[in-house]
Amino acid sequence: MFRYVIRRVIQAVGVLIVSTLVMYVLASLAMDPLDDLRISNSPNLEQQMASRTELLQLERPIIVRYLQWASGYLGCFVGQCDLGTAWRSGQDVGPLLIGASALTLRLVLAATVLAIVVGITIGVISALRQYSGFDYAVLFVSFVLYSLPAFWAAVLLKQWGAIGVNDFLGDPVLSWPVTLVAGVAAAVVCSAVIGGSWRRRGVTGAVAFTATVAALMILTVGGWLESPSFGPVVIGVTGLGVALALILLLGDLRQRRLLIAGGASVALGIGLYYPVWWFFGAYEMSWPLVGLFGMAAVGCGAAIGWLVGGESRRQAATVGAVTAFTMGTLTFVDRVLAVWPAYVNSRAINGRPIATIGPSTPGLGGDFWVQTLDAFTHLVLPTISLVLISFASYTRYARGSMLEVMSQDFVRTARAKGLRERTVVLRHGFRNSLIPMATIVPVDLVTLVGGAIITESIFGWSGMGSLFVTSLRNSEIDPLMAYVVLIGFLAVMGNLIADLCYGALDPRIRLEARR
Amino acid sequence: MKFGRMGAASTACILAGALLAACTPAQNDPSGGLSEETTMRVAQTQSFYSYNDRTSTTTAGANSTVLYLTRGAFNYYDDSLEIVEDSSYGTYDLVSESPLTITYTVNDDVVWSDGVAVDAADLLLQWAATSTALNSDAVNFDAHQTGLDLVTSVPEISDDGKSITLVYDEPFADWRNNITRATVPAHITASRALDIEDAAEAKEALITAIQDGDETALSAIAEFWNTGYNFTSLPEDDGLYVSSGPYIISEFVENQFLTLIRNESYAGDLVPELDTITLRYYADPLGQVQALDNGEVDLINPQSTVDVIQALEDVDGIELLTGVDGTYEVITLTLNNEGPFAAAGNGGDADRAAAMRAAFFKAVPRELIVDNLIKPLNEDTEPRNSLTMPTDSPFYDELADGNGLAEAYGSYDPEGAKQILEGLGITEPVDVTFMYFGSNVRRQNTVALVQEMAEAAGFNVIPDGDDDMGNRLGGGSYDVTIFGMSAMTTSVLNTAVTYQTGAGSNFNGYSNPEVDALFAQLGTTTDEDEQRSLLLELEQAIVVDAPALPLYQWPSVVAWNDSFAGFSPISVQPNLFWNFWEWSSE
Repeated sequence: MFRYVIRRVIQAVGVLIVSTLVMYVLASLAMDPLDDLRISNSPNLEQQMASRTELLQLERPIIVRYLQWASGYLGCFVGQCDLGTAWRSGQDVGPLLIGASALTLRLVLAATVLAIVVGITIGVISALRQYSGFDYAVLFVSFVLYSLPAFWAAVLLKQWGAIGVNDFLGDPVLSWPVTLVAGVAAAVVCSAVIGGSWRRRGVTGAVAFTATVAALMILTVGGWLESPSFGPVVIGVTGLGVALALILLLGDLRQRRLLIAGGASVALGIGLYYPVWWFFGAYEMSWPLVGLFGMAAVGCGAAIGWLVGGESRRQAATVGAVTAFTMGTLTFVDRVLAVWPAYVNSRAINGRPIATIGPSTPGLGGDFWVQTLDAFTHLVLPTISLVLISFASYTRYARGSMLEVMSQDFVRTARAKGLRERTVVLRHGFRNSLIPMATIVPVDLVTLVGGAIITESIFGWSGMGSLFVTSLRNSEIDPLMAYVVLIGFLAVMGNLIADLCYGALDPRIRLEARR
Repeated sequence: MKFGRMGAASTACILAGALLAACTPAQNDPSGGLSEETTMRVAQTQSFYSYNDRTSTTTAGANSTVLYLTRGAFNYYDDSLEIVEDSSYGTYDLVSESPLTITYTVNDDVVWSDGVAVDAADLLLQWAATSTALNSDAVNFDAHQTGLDLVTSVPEISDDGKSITLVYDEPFADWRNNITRATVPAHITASRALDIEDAAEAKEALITAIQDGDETALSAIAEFWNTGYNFTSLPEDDGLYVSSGPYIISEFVENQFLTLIRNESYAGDLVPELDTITLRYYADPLGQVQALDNGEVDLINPQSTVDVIQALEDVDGIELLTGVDGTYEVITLTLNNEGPFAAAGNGGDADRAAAMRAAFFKAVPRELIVDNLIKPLNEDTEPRNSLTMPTDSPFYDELADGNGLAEAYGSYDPEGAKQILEGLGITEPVDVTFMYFGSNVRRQNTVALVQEMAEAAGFNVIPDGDDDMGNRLGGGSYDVTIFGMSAMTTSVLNTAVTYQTGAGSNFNGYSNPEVDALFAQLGTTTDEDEQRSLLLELEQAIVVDAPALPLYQWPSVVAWNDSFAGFSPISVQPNLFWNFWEWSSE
């Protein structure tokens, strides 16, 4: 195993060197740093040409410039990194790269997680309802989304998702036809997902219809949208739902210990709701502190699970931890939402909270909660646009993989043993169907760090994608190469990790490799 | 037992939390401490990156805009493109015409925002840095103000330290544009470069270094002057963004926004109405329209396209103003290849080549191009008839009426073109290669119109769309090309670089000794009326040679939230910002 990893790492270094060389030469040939001067009619043109040629050493051969550039990176091994300069603005590439990648991570992290969770869930459901109306509908929708041009989707999202929604929020009233249509849509989708006999479908549809209409009424007529909040009851119910879902996935509803762990975590979360609010008010909040708070929640939940778990203490700890984390997150979001009315009515927002450009509102002021809310309102649209585009492929992968697993012999064996269908699907089918995903997700993550170039530029986020495009447009080779090196490195690492994961998850691969 | 343990753990957790809550005075303030200030937000395409816009890499509108708001200046352009002097900053006097001698004096109450006076030291640094007079192997100020290099002797400083006197070796027409302000503070430059704490001492050291030509000190000063003022987010050293103008930078987040607030120490006349202005950096034109619609920006100035104008027309609560941009579209013919417009392609007959060029210009449907492509964006656009001045310049009418372009080949005249060709004995269609930037849709359409309409005149236009045309310019591999030429100022010498023999952007090999002589004469003429008549003479000479045909001034569009008012953009820098002090909100 160790030798295998070493071999892969050496290969990776070779790939990196070759790819940077190729990229450097190609980019140097393609770029023309004097481009803007060639058609300039500035009076001191020749002097400008000369000084730029001198600055960029354009008279030297490309390979010499490459070696010079590469030596700056080699300096990193002796603690003297020189990643070069973005010569138009005179900025060092190091800080530029850090700023851009931080922004990109912020942008794509939530979107990726959401796309994976939603995509896999829908894919699995659609596999279980193979060849049903729901399956075809998902197939249709996912291919539509897959082929959606990003720039177009983003412009539409801005028009309806921001300008339209903001107009709506200014006067949050839904007409009865709209409410009823939404209810019917929810009913159709839910009954298709749940499936079963016509009677069961009817009941499901009725419940979904009532719930949707009621929710919309609370949101609009009930004034929830004007001052949104969850409160301990909603948080408790949601926590309970998460706990039950986890128990179904990891074990069985008859395992009393798991139920106790989940229930106790929910009870703890509700009990701590008000104390936590006090805690939020008492201390100057910051993200590290929020992180600590999250870890405390996970710790408490895991501890409870571990204590009551008995023989299944590992599952119980997981159930406890995840439930507690969900409750903590919801409590945090609830506190963020508390500043919503003040935020919406502030001078800088002026009643239009959903933003279309940039990662934050200039001149907003405000405390940690306001800033957090502001970050969310700026993330909403780009996240939706990224999820819409990328979740389609996860749906297809998950569906295919689930179908394959469900047709395997061990699933038939499980059924033959008399296991419940729920257990067969969740514990034997679903968990195994995730293995191939382990090879897709790391590689996808790297692609995302590379920046969603179009989404970034349309929403005005200057992350990795726009770093790449701007340097290309400005003929700045240093930041361009920094991008290439970082993404190349991550791509190589992503593939390595994917392979190792695969081996770790699937014993057959390890055996094969040993042979 | 198990319940007991679990209960104990939960109770402990809750108790601990409750205890924590009870022990600390907590306030959950749902008002969030939001800012009460109103700001006007202007969408800008490129992000600011240097507080010194005079070096060769930092001359950019993004920087100049911020400097315009944060620097007092001797003069500025108004909306009829006249130079207006701001006597509340200082004065400049033409002391003598021969040798050309100018004295600049800064008013006593003009200070940098850190309290240090703006004075002769700042102006001396401006000269030292942009005149190239002090540059040597060791000293390298990366800047060159054309014409200021004619001041080679170190300017004298008056006894009160407020005035500086520049003596030109030769007269120079455009001396007004040479020093318009103190761009960077001398005391900050010297104190950071030479590591001197005290402002007065630092200034003294700078003056001495310049007067004595101390290369060690000057080299450090030049180094700092070149790059020390580059920043892309608010620097820790607040000396780097001191202001002598009506506004001062208060917040700057990289690639996102830059906020300017009132400069409390500003004592001049151009006192703005708005307390703060925020520049938001965002490039996509349609996105800017949506951001305006969504109330995220208050003023946008995107590149004008049909899509943008249409989108803007659907937005409520905004005002829209179309106008002209500083760039103009020009068709240039190649004189230095073997093609139909070059002497070499006409058997060495230069007059015959000139006739061919005039014939081609007669075959260019200028009105049709303007009507089809530009009028939808700016109704008032007419074909531009001056070779040297923008349509909104005070010189324009006289030049356009008198240079003879309109009469010679100003309107589409296929019959006239045919006659010329027949007179030269040409009966077969003439092949001309038309190179243009291939991905530019407007140019594609322009070239298509020319191709279609020139056929009737006996020209067979072969379109040659190429995104790499910058590299081919001047190479003679084409007969016709089209590009945009821009002018940052209304200097009478702006086009010398295009029409003078062998000049930097004279790509078509145009050469006329008479034109060269006129440019030389213009360069040394300081009297405005004389400049006017020389310019007219010059244009007349060029029109006869027909090396280039201006088409139109690019359209521009400005749109703003109608709760603001007072905008009147101009075609030269600082474009829309020129009258920022008149901007107001309801």
